[in-house]
Amino acid sequence: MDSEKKSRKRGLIAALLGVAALGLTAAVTLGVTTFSAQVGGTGTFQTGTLLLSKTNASGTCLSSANSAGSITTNINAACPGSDLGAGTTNVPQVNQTSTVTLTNQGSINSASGLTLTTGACSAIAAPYGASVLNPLSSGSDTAGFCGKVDITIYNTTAAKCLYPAAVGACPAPSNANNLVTLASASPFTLATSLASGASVGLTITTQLDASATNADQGLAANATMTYTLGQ
Amino acid sequence: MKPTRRGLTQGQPWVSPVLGSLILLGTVALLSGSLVGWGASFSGQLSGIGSFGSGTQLLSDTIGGTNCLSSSNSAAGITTNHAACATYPLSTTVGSASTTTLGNQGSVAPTSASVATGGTCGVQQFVDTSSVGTNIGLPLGGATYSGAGPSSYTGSPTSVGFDGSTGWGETLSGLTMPANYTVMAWIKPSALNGVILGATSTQSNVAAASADRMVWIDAAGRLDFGNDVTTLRATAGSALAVGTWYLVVATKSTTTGMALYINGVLNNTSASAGAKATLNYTGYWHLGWGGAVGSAFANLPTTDFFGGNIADEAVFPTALSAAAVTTLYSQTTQSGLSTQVLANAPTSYWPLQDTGTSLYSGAIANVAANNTGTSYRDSSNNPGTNTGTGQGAPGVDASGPIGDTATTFNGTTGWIQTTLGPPTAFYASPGPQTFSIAGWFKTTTSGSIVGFTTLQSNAAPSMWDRHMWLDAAGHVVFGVYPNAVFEVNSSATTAKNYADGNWHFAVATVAPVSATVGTVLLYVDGVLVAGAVGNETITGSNPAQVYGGWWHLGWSNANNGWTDPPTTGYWSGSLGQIAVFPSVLTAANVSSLYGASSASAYLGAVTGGVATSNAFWPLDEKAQPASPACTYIVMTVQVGSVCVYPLATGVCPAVPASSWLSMSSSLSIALPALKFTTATTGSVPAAAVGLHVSVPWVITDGANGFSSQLTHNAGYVLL
Repeated sequence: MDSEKKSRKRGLIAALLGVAALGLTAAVTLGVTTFSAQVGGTGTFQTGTLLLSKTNASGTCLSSANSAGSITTNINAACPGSDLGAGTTNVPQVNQTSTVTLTNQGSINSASGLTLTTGACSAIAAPYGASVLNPLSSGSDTAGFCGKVDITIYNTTAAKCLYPAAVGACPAPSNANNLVTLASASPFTLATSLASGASVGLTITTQLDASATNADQGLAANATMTYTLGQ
Repeated sequence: MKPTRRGLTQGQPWVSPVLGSLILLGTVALLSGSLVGWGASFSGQLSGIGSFGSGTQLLSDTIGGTNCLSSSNSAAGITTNHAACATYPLSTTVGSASTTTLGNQGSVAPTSASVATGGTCGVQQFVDTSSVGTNIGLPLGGATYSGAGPSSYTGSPTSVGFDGSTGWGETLSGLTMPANYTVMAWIKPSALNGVILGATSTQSNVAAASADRMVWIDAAGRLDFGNDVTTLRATAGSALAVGTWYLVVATKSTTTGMALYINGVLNNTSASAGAKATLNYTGYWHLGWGGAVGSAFANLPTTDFFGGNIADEAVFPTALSAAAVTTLYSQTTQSGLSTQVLANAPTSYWPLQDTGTSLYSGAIANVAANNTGTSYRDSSNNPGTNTGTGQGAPGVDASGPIGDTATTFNGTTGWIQTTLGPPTAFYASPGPQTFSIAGWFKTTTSGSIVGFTTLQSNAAPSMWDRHMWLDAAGHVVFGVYPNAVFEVNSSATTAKNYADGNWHFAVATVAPVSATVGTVLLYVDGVLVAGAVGNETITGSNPAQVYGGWWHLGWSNANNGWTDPPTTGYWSGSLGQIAVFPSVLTAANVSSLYGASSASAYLGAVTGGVATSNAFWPLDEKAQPASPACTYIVMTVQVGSVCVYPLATGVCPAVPASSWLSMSSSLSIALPALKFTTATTGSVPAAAVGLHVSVPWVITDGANGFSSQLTHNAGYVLL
């Protein structure tokens, strides 16, 4: 055995010791000149997966596109549906509730957990219910509309109010918590860790505030909602 | 065989330390599912748009094919969501029905809707903007608003159109006709005929003892100016043309005579003695009409009615100079002309820029208010059959029970006579033996609420019972006569004085138990206060006296022959919602009626919801309109197949005589159709015929904080 072989052997032993130290029982047999053994089957080196799914009223989307190109960035920026509910005919003081479920669909646990980041809200004219007599009508309050959409977010898994932060159930929607203030309070920790296969449920309640006027008719408030599952 | 990165195969004698480390890392990753601590990390992320949309609440109505939407659909978007519609929901022709079709054009269904009159009923007017400002003009007949104004003006001047046969303007003030004066008008004739402006000694458009100071178009198309008995005719070469705007000015001076200007240019003059003469009388100016036909002037028109458009009609107390006339004509805008007109101190100036939205509610000569024949409808399950007629001028209490209005009685002469007596239906002889009476009352003194007697009038009857009253102590008393006086009195259980100025609800029930025993109960404010089962001893098999008779509201004969009588047979105070049932209301029934929180709820309760009534007088007939002219037009409003004004079950009855054009409160409605029906009431004075009677209408609907509204205030009913 020359020095090079000694070095290789030490490396191999170190590796084997490492594996043994972890108490692993994988059938891995390493062949060296001083051993004569056979490997039964194929020794495989395989990475884990970390995938996040979201289910709302419109369906489920996955953080990876799952396309033929397989996982690349593992970022899906175009999930369908609205996490704030599908209603386009909201009137003041009547709330709507939507449910969002986030699941770690990967093979590995997330030790750093799950977060929600909400972007700045913007409002646009969205004249729903057009008719011959009403081809265009929308309210003029695009500047103030986001601040009149009250919101609460309840973490059903942790059984606590995420926004506004509170122990237990969320308070009734009020103008103190709206889509403008929500963005300021973002990001939110939905789970400090999330095991493979585990889920976090959210109940999001929105309501057009009592201060809304006719000028707030036919508008849509939009805000990006990004969920990140870390390793 | 060489080692691969994916694993080892038999025959490989060595493995490098690097490879070993990779195996270790990969295996750890594979089996633990974590790469924490090794630098690079995995993450999953997804995003979407959280979107929240608000609905739209938009109301439309369609009248005669013309649509109106509550939002203007402008680029500014919805702000007030309130539109002023060009249409009017009532037909111009009195006696006709008109349907307004409502529509929800938004994405949100309304949760409430209502219709209301949005202001005081009155007649439309031609505003007088002179410094005097009191000589309002009243359009009559075929006069229309907002026609195009003089074509030489910039901006959007308007004018009033006259149909040449019925349309004209009456003025309100009788004036001493001036000796020196100027009359002026922009005109666009549609026919070469008729009087542009003239004065007569009568306010109306009838032949008058005196008539002059008039300008007309003769058959040749030439202008004529008549003063006293002198006619000044425009030159032959200045005949007017149909469809062309002209500024016509005529001046008269006691020193220089008459002058006629067309478009600022002096056309003709007369300095004769007749031209300088003055016909003295107190008279009225007439717009678009004058007493020319049959007069002593020359070149007369064949009609006194002007056909075409007129704007900026004015009377000045001096003969304006040629320079002043030129200045008037040189203006390029209506506002510029208005400034110049006012600078010459007119005694009357009717710009005729009116839109028909400014109403006059004051006195009109020879048009007295129609305040007779006030009727009180029967809205029972026999609707309209037992109408009441006010006697002694009952009044209106705007603060009635259950959110409604009520009727007031003066305590000395006022009461309501009912129509039906024997032998008709429920009121056939004899009167009811099993029945209930319910009603709301408010007073501060003793008096009679309701009574049944053998006479329709309130003369001394031969028999009388079924009376309800308040005694001298303010106790509620109900009496029947089963061949003996029998009374139940609230004092049996309470010492309360109900003459406390507040509204109270009383119910009396009567029913036989046997040939010798009856039950008479009295409830006040939903609570049994007097009577018990079998409390009445009967002599003659009936719990009440046997005779045919009539109900009286606000009067009874209880002050004669009863043990604990009222201090008067009349009622001093208010009554409302009085109903008679051919059944015994139970305590639960009474409680339900007492709990009805609105007029519509009470109506439903007394017409089958709780019990079926034979007679029901809401006594909520509305206050008489302030404008005398409005008291000659009444109306009904029906939503779908339900009458909401006056409130009734089913379709609207024939228009009641006191269902005025003004409503004191808004009425709940449902989409989509409102049917308005008008009628005249009373004997319409000749001086009122042709007036444009109008009241603004407001139709609203809403859902929570969103609301939409349509206002109609530019139409009228031609009286």
